[in-house]
Amino acid sequence: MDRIPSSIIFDIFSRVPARCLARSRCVSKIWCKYIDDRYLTIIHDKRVVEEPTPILYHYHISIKKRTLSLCFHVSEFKQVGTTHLVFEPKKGPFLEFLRKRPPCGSSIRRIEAQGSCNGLICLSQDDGYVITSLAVLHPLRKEYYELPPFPLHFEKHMRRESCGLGFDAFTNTWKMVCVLLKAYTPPDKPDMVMKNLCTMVHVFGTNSWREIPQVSSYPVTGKAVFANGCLHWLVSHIDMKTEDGGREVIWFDVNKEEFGLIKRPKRMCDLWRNYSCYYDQLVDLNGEVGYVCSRTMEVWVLKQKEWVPHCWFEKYIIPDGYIEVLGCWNKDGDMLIKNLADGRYAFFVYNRKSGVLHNTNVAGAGLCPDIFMYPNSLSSIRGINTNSFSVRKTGVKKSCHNIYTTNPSHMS
Amino acid sequence: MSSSSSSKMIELRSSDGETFHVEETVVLQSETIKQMIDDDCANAAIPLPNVTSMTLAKVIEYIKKHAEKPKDDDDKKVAEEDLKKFDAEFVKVDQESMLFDLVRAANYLNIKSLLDLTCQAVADSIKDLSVEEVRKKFNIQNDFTPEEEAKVRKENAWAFD
Repeated sequence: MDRIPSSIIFDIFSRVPARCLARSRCVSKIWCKYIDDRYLTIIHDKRVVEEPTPILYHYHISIKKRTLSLCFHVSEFKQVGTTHLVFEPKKGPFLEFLRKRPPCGSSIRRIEAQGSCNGLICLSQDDGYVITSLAVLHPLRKEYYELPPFPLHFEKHMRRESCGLGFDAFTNTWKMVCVLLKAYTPPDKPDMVMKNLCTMVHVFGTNSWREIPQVSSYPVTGKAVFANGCLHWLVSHIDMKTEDGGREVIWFDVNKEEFGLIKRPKRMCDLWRNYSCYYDQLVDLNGEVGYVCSRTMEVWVLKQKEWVPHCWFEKYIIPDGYIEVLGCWNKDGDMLIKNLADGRYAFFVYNRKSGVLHNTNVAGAGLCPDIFMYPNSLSSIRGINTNSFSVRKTGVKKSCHNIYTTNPSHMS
Repeated sequence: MSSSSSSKMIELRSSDGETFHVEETVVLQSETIKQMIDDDCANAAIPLPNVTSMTLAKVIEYIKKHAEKPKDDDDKKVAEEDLKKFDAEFVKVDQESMLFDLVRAANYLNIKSLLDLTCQAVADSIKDLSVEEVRKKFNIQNDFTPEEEAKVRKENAWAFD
């Protein structure tokens, strides 16, 4: 391989799946150098379309060490028989995001995953009321970047506020975009809402936040979905009521720093679930924006700013309780769904072709397990500045063994 | 089959001095040679000092196959399938070094489809191999110290699962 021009080596590596490249870093020093090159990241993300790797994460609290952490486990689907799938997290987390708890025992702190972009997971930490810090984590490369202190208060539940992580492919920079209200404003005073609405942007590698003059036309809510160069949020449902209860979508072009509005998708089925549109959600479906309607259980995908029907769930297969679509787990667009009913979590995989929902037994109760569909991206934040560094895996294998089900069962 | 028999023949000479006669229409798939012909530098044998006769024979086999033109639409489908099969077989070489020779030749001769095909073949062969197997197959010297290697491996622990 030594007589091959470097452009050709990049071409070859750009065709190799990210997980395999990560593993191949230790073949030799030259290989490692090629794989860590930013140029490869850029051409690789354009070329290889991979099936995502599901990563299961959950809280772990150590009373003895006074720490709170998020443990990440690689998981995989295993086929049982011809149609059944079983979801299995690998034993032992490959990564633990560790945070010291504050000395005062009464103060609660939570770490929450707020979404992802190009393989980076955005995490927030709050003190029970407001978000106190934001950080991003790259699980494949095990890199971590902490954002500078946030200059404004940021409501923890983000009912009318949100942040989103985006990537500007023109300048090769990451941006964290926060849309928030400078002061509490009741939704029945739209003029005041507009006055208080503000957009804060942090460019990775810089040390500050800046307020940009552009603001969205309404407050936004929920997790942001990054797709095709834009961040997407649902409009806060209390700030904008529509006749059919559908919710418009705000987009933000990460390069141009412009906002825009996309009309809600047109419902095809009758309403049959007694849920508020508050439970509607946006989800990343293999790199596209998906809209999940909680009352009709229809799912659309945004293509060229138009909503295209993706699937709908038939009435009899949907379990009771709150449903969250976590993403696609393969290229066919089959989806992974989390269900919360009676305080218990259950996970399902939905087969688009057959319309069948399979229950998949994942984790024990009480630990709020969540699954993140990791797109296996190579993108790196290493060395952006002193706020970024590698994280090391710590010996937590014993501490969180209780989340596994040794004998995963299934039903259809 | 390929174009008319009256097509002009081009002479190619490999690095080890062997000459090959190929129809001009076939050899035009190589952007490098096309340029030479356009510049009127192809009256004598074209020397290819970077390509051995063994590699050149393979390259000619490839471009000949890819120059075949289907007669009608029905034939087109069959031909496409046939070409896919040919490509799959073409990159099944005994020695990994042959694949690299082809990558280099495709790059030098600037034959885009052959470069794509061979690069993908190399990538596919990396995909399923362990680190040790990659080193062996591609004859790569491990220049990490055991400590350095352990460190790099640790950084990507879950990729080894």
